[in-house]
Amino acid sequence: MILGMTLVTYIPRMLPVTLLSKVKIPDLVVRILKFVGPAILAALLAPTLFITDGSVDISLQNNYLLAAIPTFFTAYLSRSIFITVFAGMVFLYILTLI
Amino acid sequence: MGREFFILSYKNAVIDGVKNSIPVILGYLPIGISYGILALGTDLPPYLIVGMSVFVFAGSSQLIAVNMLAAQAAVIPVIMTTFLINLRHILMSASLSLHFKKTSSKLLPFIGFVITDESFALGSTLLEEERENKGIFFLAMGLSAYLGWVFSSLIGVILGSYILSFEIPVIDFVLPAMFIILLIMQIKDRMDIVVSILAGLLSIILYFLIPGNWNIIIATVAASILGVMIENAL
Repeated sequence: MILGMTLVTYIPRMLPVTLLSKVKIPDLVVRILKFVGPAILAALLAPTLFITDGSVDISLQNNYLLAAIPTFFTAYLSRSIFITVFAGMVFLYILTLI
Repeated sequence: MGREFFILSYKNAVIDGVKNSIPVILGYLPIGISYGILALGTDLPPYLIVGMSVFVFAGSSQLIAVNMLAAQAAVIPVIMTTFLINLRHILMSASLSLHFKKTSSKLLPFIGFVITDESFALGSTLLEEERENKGIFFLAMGLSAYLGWVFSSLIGVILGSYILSFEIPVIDFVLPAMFIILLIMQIKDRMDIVVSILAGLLSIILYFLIPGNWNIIIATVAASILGVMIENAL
């Protein structure tokens, strides 16, 4: 299983950077690729925050969404992975106490 | 003079890379530790738990794999899920390739191994700057983060073996919080915000329409293309 997981993790990471670094990529593709960074993170994040138990939850019961708000501010002000992750856990913990 | 200069700038790139990996390692610590602790709840022996970190080196995939194993999932679905989750790295790898035009081809397979969400987010910000030896810099940053990841999961296994009933509900928030800071670091202008909101919305809508983890990839590609189309229209 670990061997299989290693291959399916390594190949998607390795092939594009190895093959594409030495070729001239069309300008249009470059412009699209530059948006991939923020887009992929938002696409990963949004379902985690807005979907609970298989349905969209924008209520005050959704602790993840509520904790995300101060976490975003912390991220913006601190620009630090460690501080943000730690603060995020503290925010969620406070919400579970309420 | 040429060679000495080369060695010096080479060394600087390594030092700079390792320095920049420190926040990533600090971010890995809670994730790696929770991975190690959670993995102890499966049938995996401790050496394979750490072994998975050594070979696979993918935090979210490993956490999901361990969750699936705890729910008695079979091997093939675990590998399939890992594959789907990691497809996003195709886009990251392609996007990073823009920065490695001058990097030796021999380094690229190793650079590929250390591309993660975190090294990508940092790399695509830091590689925009003027710097020498971009390949060495990124590789040093990635390898240092890699060691940090293996070490964190080892700590998790050790902690989990000694502290038997270990329950930290807020640990589930580590990944979302990390994606939040990485997203903030990725946003450079107003168009990035527009594309992010589009990608997030599409990802939620597609989540309900398409099974598997496809919503992430499709939403990313669609939002990025829409971003360029909007730029062209303005």
